[in-house]
Parts: sequence; structure tokens; C-alpha cells
Amino acid sequence: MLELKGLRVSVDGNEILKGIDLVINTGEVHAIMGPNGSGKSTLAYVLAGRSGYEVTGGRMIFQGDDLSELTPEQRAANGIFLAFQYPVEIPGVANATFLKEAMNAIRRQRGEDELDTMEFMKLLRLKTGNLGMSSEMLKRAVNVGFSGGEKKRNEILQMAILKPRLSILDETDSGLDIDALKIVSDGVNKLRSPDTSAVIITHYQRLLNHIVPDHVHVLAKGVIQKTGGKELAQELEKKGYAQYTEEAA
Amino acid sequence: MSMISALPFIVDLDKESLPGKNLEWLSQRRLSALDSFLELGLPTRNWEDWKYTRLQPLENTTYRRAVHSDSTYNIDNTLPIFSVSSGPRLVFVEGIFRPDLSKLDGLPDTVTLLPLSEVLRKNPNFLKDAMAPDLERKKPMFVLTEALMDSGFVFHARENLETELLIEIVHMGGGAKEPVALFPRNLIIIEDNAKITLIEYFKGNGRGTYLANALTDVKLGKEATLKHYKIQEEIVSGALISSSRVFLQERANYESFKLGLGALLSRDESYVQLLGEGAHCELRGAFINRGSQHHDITTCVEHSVPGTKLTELFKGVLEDEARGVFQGKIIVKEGAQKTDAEMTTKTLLLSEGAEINAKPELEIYADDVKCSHGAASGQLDEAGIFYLRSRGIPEPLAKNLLVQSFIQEAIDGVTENSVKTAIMDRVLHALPGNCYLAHEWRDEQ
Amino acid sequence: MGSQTQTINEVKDIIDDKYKYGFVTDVETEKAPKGLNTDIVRFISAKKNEPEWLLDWRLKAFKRWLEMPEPKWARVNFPPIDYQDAFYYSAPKTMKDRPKSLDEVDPELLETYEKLGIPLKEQEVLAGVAVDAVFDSVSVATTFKKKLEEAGVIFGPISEALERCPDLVKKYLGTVVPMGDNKHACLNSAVFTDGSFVYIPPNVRCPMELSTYFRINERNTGQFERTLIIADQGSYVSYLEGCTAPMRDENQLHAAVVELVALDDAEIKYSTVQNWYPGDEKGRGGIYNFVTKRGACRGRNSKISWTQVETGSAITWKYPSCILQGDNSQGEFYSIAITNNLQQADTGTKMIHLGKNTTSRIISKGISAGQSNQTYRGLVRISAKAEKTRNFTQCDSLLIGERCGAHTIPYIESKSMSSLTEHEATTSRISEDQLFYLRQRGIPEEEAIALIVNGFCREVLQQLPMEFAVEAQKLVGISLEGSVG
Repeated sequence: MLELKGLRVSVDGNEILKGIDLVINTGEVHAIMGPNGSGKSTLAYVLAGRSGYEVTGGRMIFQGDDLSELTPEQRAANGIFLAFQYPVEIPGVANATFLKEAMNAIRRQRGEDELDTMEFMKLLRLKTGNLGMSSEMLKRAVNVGFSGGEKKRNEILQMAILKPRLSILDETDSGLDIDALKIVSDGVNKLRSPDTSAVIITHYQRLLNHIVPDHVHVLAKGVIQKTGGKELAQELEKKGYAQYTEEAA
Repeated sequence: MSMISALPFIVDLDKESLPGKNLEWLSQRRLSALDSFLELGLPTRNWEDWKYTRLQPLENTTYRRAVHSDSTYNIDNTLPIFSVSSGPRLVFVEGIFRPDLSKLDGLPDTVTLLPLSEVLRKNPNFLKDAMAPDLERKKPMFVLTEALMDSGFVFHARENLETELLIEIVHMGGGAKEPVALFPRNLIIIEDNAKITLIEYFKGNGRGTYLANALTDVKLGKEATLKHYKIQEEIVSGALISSSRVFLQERANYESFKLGLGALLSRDESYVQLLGEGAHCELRGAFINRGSQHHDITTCVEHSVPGTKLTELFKGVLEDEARGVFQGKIIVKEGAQKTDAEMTTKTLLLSEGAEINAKPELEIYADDVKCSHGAASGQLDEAGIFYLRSRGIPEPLAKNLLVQSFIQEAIDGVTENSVKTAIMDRVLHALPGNCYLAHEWRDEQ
Repeated sequence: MGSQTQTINEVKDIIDDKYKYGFVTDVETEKAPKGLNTDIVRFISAKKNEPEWLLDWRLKAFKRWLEMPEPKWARVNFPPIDYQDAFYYSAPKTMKDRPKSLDEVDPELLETYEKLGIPLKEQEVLAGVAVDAVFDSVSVATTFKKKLEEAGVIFGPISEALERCPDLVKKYLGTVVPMGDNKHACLNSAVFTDGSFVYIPPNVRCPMELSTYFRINERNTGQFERTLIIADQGSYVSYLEGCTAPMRDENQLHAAVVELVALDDAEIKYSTVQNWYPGDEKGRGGIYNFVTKRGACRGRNSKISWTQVETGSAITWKYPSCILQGDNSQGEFYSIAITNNLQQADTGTKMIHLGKNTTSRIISKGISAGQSNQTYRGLVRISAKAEKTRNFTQCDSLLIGERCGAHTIPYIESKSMSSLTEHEATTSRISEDQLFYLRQRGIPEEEAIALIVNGFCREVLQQLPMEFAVEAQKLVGISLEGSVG
């Protein structure tokens, strides 16, 4: 589904990713772990197409397309979803309006029919209920006045509505208490299928107790230092990242 | 020109008795400033900047210039010095320097603190350069002081000087038998990386009528810090018009607080220019006025470069027929991205007859900025008074407490603890029917 | 299809033809000779068959106008206006004998309004909206007259009202905006041509929305309409005006006066969607929109609410205000002003609290883009007798691009201890984060901007009558076309 070949990325002229090679097949869940400042969020942003993240070398192939040719909204239409570490507040725009606009924009780009308001609201209520969210949150402006947990749940709700092929969860566990963590993980697990893939970006192992990955990668100093199975995450939890940061130094 | 009848000393401008009389450049400046003033006249309410403050009543009084003998009346040597410290101080009585009351020992070598007249005598070239001739010619009260400057002080701290001392400048007035007018010209220069706390204390003494029209230039070098506190306890026969121009270089910090309790008419103008990136300015103040007092706070802060910050907060309490004015302007020039500016003014009206006029302005020419202002006026919260009374606090005290808590927010911005305490004391004094419970309440904080 | 999608499609349609109302209708016109003097004032008055008192009033206004200085305090710049280089009266020739019904109206004119999206034939008209269509200096048609008459509502051109109910006009004309209020209003008093007159009798809730559509067509012509709305005791009316003009290289003057009077328990809701030609991206041409609008809440418990969406005009100078005389009366001002390219707008409101327990609410949303400059100018004045009054003001500016300006100049004057005033203002821009977030969710950039701006304006858009909210929302997107690279 996604193939990264020698991907190099600079931000403000500083090289953050220094040659990433990664293959994610359909149906797989990959965890990318690493210390602060290792380039984890940079990887998430560059995949989603944030401006200011300049690809200086290598390629990103998603379902046969070169991602760097596509705008953020085209990538979204192609099925890339980024759950933000810090979801953005948009005053005055109701959550439900925003979700409907996004879904229909994606459907249009895919050449599918748009949902009318009735159909959409039915779908939305169903998904909201599944995530234990109140319908009141749909009327409020996007992320404005939401608690940390509500914001993350809202991200997962969007994911459930937009049905991406590849979900990238950037530090989704940060700022969540254990109950919220469970709700969010359940939401992600429900979306797991043989047709979809996910990249979980996290500093800690605890989220991986709930969402069990197929592969774990250690990202440090801008390169993938080690790749293994889910047991690698447990090892990291015990030994920390020191060995990788030192090795690279 | 009506101004001339009110201030007759302008026509017979006796240059011989003004300081720096033999300095050609100074005489030139005085004359050219006088020309500007005579052309402009006193501001009227048709001037946008003076819409809410009238100076014309001043014309009903005939002022004369203060002379040395005005300041020699008997003053207790233990002056009501404002601060709690016994740091260095410069004392002026009716604008005239009083070495006997001042205390200048203990100042670090790299600090100069002298009356203007003395600097004009000893080091006039320093002043020639430091008093920028780029005066705004359209401002009559600026040019009036430029023309008639007869007193004032110079404070100069050299690079890297850091001192814990609280340095005070005390201005006393009201002792002269006939109405006198003063034109202090002050200069505060804080060089790179120096850190200074200055207190200016204005105290009315006696019953005489006076007018002080002061112009102060404040220059802060790179990373310099000035905490500048002005405490005004004028008698109500006095009029004080005080204008400051403040210039901040890179990462300089200017923290000011103004407490306005006195004077029949007072207007405090601050023109701040944030010239260096990362410069930071805080303007705060509180005023409590009653009777027919008129209190005007006018500020204008110009953000000229990226990444500068402003916090402005003024709280006013008006009783009887007192009138308050707040005019605040924030200008963000083109290219001054990442400006962060916040301006708030709140006023309590405690009587029918009190009046507040506010004009908080934004003028913005850059898009990536965070600017906001808020203005509110109203009376004491009935629910709050009831809540306190239901806990057994008598009504007058309940009101006092609420006024205090209203003002507290502004005073909390004073980072010099001893000054903050002293300001709180002055505020408690100024409240009606101050009583010990209020002090107790404060001490619990 | 979502409204934002519509906005974007609309924007795309318009790229080739940026201002879709910029066409010219080719009709033969009858004009007054060029220039301005007492003869022209007499000419206009004669054209309208006006009573003597009105001609005298006009002549008095003209005399004052000659002596009055131009208002200089607004933050707008333009070269001096040559008042002699314009026509002050222009009417389609076919309007000479006033048509008795729509069937008699020149099809060319009907087609013009159809093209503007304002069909006037009754079978096609917007359900529930009665329209008075003003073309240059005359009203060409008023729809639903019968239905309104049944309810006792008088709605039509002011020239017609002078014939039907001269006493009402005489009683109220110039009582809210006196002729010498300012130079522009004074000019209007001397040379006003047409405009709408509305009278709602006691205890009548006007059965439909009333709307006037103003169209400037003729070259070198000013438009000086005068609107007078009187809501008698216990009545209610919602009124909307729309404005467009052809694209021309010269500037044209529009100096209107609107007076509203609300008596006891009456309510007037006045909405404007102003889309005069704004000039091109180099600042050539466009309308000078110098308008004086004021409402008097004369009665107890009366209410006047202004809502405006100002997207057009080269220069906007406009301060719809409320004089809150009656106890418990309410004034509201909801405004969206969008300036792009080299447009200039100086707009806001005055809330004058005179009565006890009066309340006012001001919500202003300004969006500056391109190299435009925009100023909110507001006055809240609470007199000593206006006990227990309340004012809330929120004024927000959104800047799009580095070369525009947004300014806020509020005056808040309170002499009443028991009154509360609250004023808040903020300035912000569309953040990269917001834009990226929306785009990541699949929403294209222009659509994302329209969505954010519509969110920013939502509080005001909600105030518009349903029929016009969608139109206004579209306009928001269109006006910002080309503002982001």
C-alpha cells in the first residue's frame, strides 16, 4: 500500500528524516516508536502533505501514486488520514458541518455520489454512539472548548466517517486517561480490516497493548534503527531509547 | 491668543532665568518650540486626541513661574517618602531641586542621577545628543515643555548595571502661595542589559494651585529592563499633564504601573515605540477619583518590528462627579508579524454623575498578529455585595472589598513586591471609610 | 450540495467574469442635464409631481449643502468629487407614463432583474418576498402590492407615497436624519429621486419580507434613493435591500438616506446585502457608497435591528445607527464587511441610549484581503438618564495577506452608573494549521477558506432572512476570490 524509498525530509533547511525505507502492505498495522525529536511527527506530516516539510530525496509511493505530486486534499481522497497530535480548533464551524463537507468533498473527488443531510446524519449518529460521544459535540464548533480526550475522540470519529485506507495516528495516546485510551483504541480496532492499514506513532508502549501492531520500527536520529515484531515494543519499554540515540551519535 | 493671557510668562519669557541660558543650541530649540506652540495653541475638544479632556479651565488661573523661594517653606525632613526602602532619592519641591532632602550616596558608579539644571551646567553636550530633537511638532503640550523646560531630572544607567536599589524621584507641589507652573523635562536612559527600578512619586503638599506639564523620554537599550512606577497623590488643586515617550530596543523590557489618586486634572500620555525584535512592554495602572476630578490615560503603542509584545491593563474607580478617560491605541506596522498585543480597560462607576469615556483603538497592517482589546464599564456587582453581607460583612466594607478586588488584577502586575505592598496601602487609604478589616483581608492574601 | 461547494462553483464560474452583475442594460433614458444647481433640484421635484413643501425642503437642503464641508474623519482616500460632472436624474423612457401593472413594464427592464436573480413576474417571484425594483432614479415595479394592501401595509416608491399618503411622509421625512446631518445626507435631501416607503399599521405583522433592489445602470449617474420605514404600534416588518451596478472605469456616487421609525412595541429588521461594483483589481472604477442610515426607537419596547453584508463598492462609508429613545427599546447591529484588492471601507454603528433599560448589541466581522483597508468605527453613548442600560460589542477582524489593513475605532461613553458596557475586539488571520487540517480531511483550499470565513461570520449570517442567507454566504466566497495565492 505504502512504500517509502530513501525518504529525506527537511524543515527550514534542517534535515530531519535522513533516508527512510519502509513498506506497509495492505492489512498491516505498523508502530513507529522513538524518542522525542526523532522525526516521528515529521514523517506523519510529510505523508499528509503539510507545507514546510520538504522532500529532498527519495520517494513516497501510495497505491502506485507518487504522493509528493498530490495536494493534501487529494491524498485524503486517496485514503490517507492523519489523526493529529494537536487537533486544530475552528471557531464558528459546527463539527457536523465540517464532517459532512469533508466526507462529501472526498466522495466528489472519488467520483462517488454525495450523501444528503438525512443519510449523513444517520451515519453520523451511529458512529458517534459507537465512540461514546454525545450528539451535543456535533453541534459545537470543531474542537473548540473540547477537552484533550474529546479532541482525540473527535479525530477517531472523523476516521470512522471518512473510512481511510491508511490511517496515521500521531501520538494519539498523549494526554489520554486510561478510559479514553480504551475507547480510542476500540474505535481504531473496529476499523481494522484486511483492506486497510495503519501507522501508529507513539513514544510509549501502552497504546500498543490495546492496538497490537504487526511490525514495530524504532525511529531515531532521522532513520529507522531497528525493525521487529510486537515484542520489540516491550523491549523498548524496558530498556528505553538510549541505545539507539547513542549508537547513532 | 488666549493662552497668553493665561500664561503671561510666555510673553515675557525670561530666558536669563531658565537653566542652560548660555547654550546657543538650547535657546534655538526653545524658540523654535515656542513658535510651534504659539501656532498650535492649547488643544481643544475638536482635536481627536483631546476629545474628552478640556484644558481650557486652566486658562482661568494666572500662573507664574516657580522661583527658588517657593520651595523653601518649612518641610518636615522626614518626608512622606513613598517606598519602603531607604534607597537613593532625588527630591524636588515646586520643581526646585532640594539637595538637603535628597539622598544620592549609595548610588553605583555607573549611574547618574541629577537634576536637569546640573547636567546642563556640567555636561551639556550629553544632553544635546540625548534629548532627541525629533519632537512631534503637532503636540502642543510637548513643545510647550521643550520651550519652557525649567526643571526635571536625568537618570542614566550604563551597560550591564544591575541593582536591587529602589531609586526614587519625589516631586512635591502645592506649597507656593500663588499659582505656579512647572515644565519638567526628564530623561531616563538605560543602556544595554542594565536592570533598574525607578519610582516617581508625586505628592501634593499644602493648598497652592499649580500646573505641571512634564515631558519624559525613556530609552531602553538591548535587553535592558526598567520597572517604572508612578504614584500620584496630588492635592486636588493641582493639574498634572505628563507625557512619556518610550523607546525599546531588542528584547528590552518596560514594566510600568501608574496609580492615580490625586490632582483636579490629570492626563498621562505614553507613546511607546517597540523598535527592536522581542521587545516587551507592560503598561498597567489604576485610578480612584472623586469629587470633580478628571483623570485621563492616553497610550499609543507602535509595533514596528516582528515579535514584540504588549500587555495593557487599566482599572478605574469613579465616584461623585469624577470623570475618567481611557484612550489606548495599538499600531501594528507593515511587517511587524507575530505581534502579540492585548489591551484591557475596566471602570467602576460608583455614583450617578460619574462618567467614563473609553476609546480603545487598533490599527493593524500585518496579518500574522494576535491583537485584542476589551473595554467594560459598570457598577459593583449586587450579587457580590449580597454574598459578602450574607456572611456578616457590613455594606460599606463589602463595597470596599469588591473595589479592592477589582483593582487587584492591575496591581498584581507589579513584580516588585515592596512596591506592590505600598501601592496596596495607598489604595486602601483612598477607599471610602477604610477600616482595619480591609487591611486584615489584604494581609491574608 | 453544501453551500460551500456552491460557493466554490460560483467562484470558479466567476473567474472569467469576476463581477457577474457587471453588465449594462441598453435602454433609452431620459436624463436631467448634467450638473447640479437649483434648476436640477426643481427638475427632479417637477418630475415627481411633488408638493410645494417638499420642493422648498429640497431647495433649503441644497443651499445648506453648498456651505457644508465634506466629512474628513473617515479612514478613506479618494480624489475630490466633481459634483458638476454627473447626472442627478436618469430614468428609462418607458417609465415616463408610470406603468399600471407589471405587464406594462418594459420587458428589457424585467429581463435585467431576472439576470440579477430578482424575477419580478409574480408567478416566478421568491415566495414570501415582495420586491420594489429601483432602476437608476425610478422605481420600475413593485410586486405583491395587492396582498400587502389587504393587510393595510403601504409599500412602494416614495414618490408614489407622496401622492397616496403625503401626511405620513411629511410627518416623518427628515426627522431621523435631519437634512443637515452630514454633507452626503444633505445632498440626498436635495436631489433624492426614488426609494422605498413602508408603513405598517398598528398591530400588523407584515405578511411577507419586503425587499428593494437597487440597480445603477446609467453611466455618470449618481443614485440618491431615500427610504423611509414606519412601524406603527405593535407592528413588525422585515426589510431587505440589495444593490448592484455595471462595471465601469469611472467612480459613481451612491448617497442614500434610510430612516426608520419604530413606535411602541414595534420591531423593524433591516437587512442589506450590498454588492455594488467594487472596481477592478487595480482599483479602477467602482461605486462610492456614502450612506446615512439611522433608526429611531421612539416607542417603548420597540426594536430596530440592522444586519449588513457589505462586499461591494470601491469605498464604503456607512454607519447604520439606533437612537434608543423609548424605555426598554433595543438596538442591534450585525455586520460583515469584506474588502479585497484596493477597496476601502469605514463602517460601523452608533448606539445612542436615551431611554431607561435600553439594550444594544453590536457584532461586527471585518475581513480584509488584498491591499484593502477596513475600519470599524463605533459609538456607544449612554446618557445620564438611561438607567440600567446594557451594551455588548464584539468586533473581530480577519486579515488575509500581508498587505491589507484592519482598524478598530470604538468610542464608549457612559454617564450612567447602573449601566453596563462591554466591548471586545480581536484580530486574527486564517492559520496555516486550520487550512492544513481541513485540506487533510479532503476539503480543497478555496473551499476550506470559504468554510473558515463563513465560520468566522456565522453569528451575523444567522441574522439574515433565510432566503438571503445562502446568497450572502456565496458572496462571502466570491468576494475573496483571488485573495489567496
